[in-house]
Amino acid sequence: MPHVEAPSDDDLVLQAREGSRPAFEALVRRHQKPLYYLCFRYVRDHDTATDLVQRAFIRVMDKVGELREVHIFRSWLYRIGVNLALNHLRDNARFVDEDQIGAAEPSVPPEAIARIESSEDSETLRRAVDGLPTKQRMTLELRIYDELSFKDIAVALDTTEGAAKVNFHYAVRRLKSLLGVANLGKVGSP
Amino acid sequence: MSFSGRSAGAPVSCEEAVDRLVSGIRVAEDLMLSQHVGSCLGCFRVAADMREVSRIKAGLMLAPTFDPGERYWDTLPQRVIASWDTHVAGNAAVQPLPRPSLWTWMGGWLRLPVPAAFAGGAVVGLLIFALTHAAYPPAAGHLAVGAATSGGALSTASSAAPRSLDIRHEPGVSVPVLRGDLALGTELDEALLGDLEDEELRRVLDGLGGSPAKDGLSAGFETFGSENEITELPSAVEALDDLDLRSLRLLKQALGRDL
Repeated sequence: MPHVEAPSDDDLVLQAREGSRPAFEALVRRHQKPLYYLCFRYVRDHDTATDLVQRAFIRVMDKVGELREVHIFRSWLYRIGVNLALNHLRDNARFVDEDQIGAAEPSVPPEAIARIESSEDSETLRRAVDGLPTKQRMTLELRIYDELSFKDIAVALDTTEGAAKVNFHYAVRRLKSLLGVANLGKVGSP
Repeated sequence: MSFSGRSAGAPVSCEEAVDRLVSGIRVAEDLMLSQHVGSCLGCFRVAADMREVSRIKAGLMLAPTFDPGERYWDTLPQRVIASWDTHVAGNAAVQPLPRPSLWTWMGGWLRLPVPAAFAGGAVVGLLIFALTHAAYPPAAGHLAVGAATSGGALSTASSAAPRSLDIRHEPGVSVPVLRGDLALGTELDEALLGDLEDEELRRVLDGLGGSPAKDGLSAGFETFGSENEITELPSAVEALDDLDLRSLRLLKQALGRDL
């Protein structure tokens, strides 16, 4: 049986632009996870992250006709997600409980938390990342979690490639100074 | 050959070195980069910072990750599409009404008392403005007679201003007459002329037809007679009597044209 290649993002975007529902669904399936986790890292709430993902995809469908360069779809989608998440944080800033930042999420069912290898150090690192300036944090997370190129990060964060690199370097340097090389070495060591 | 394809001999600037290091290129992969880092403290520090990236990544990946479950990922696309359908249906339900025409819009606006009052005031103001400025320049017979000043100058203010015969008259004060202030479209006002003393009228007519005016009275003057016919009249009153209104108008036009 011949192997059928999955259509590229570009093809799906072009089809979705014409109103193809299967193409749109395929795009959602392909990008729902990274987008969900991108939002979740900011809002720390499953329901809110789900809502943001839905809103992000709806906005994508609303504006996909205006997307001139279809090859930046992924960065563009992340950009929408980041903006929605930041807007949510801004609008709900007064309701954010400082103690909950970086802590276990109350809306997350306990059984849903995957039992991945965990350590106190990695949790400390996570909190340190949360404490970074927004641009540095976003750049670091897009680079590490989503493995975006700096060019794509620049698109996603509406900045330049050089600025993205500088932000990434500053983020790494700050984490290094906050946690100490020795501690980081312990975290990363197998 | 170096990792980046750069020729072995080409030097690497600090900017290039930092760019490559932050992009993830390891020092060991690029000979020129390695040489530069070995000789540049700033770039050496950047290289040291970047060595921590893999450790940071490993540490973050070790952190517990929330997993909503396969069922969630299976159903999320349907929920997104359902949201999209609702969104589209909602947009269709609130289709914008066709834009009203300008007259419709203005009609509705003018039904409100305050805008209607403003609009009425604006119309009245425009009417008043139009009426007061319709006679500009002064259409007919404006012979201004004002209070006298010593020397009784006729106003010869500027050529741009509408010219009129401005005889500043005061009993007992001689009124020098200067020609040239009769503008086109100006008529001699017989009533005003009648108010002048005979002597003054004579001076007026002398001024019109006398030597100072002789050069200015040219073809237009000659249309109704020679200049001698005027200057030789026994008195100014008789001269005015002899001149009918049409002649006066012609005289005025001639003066205006020549001046």
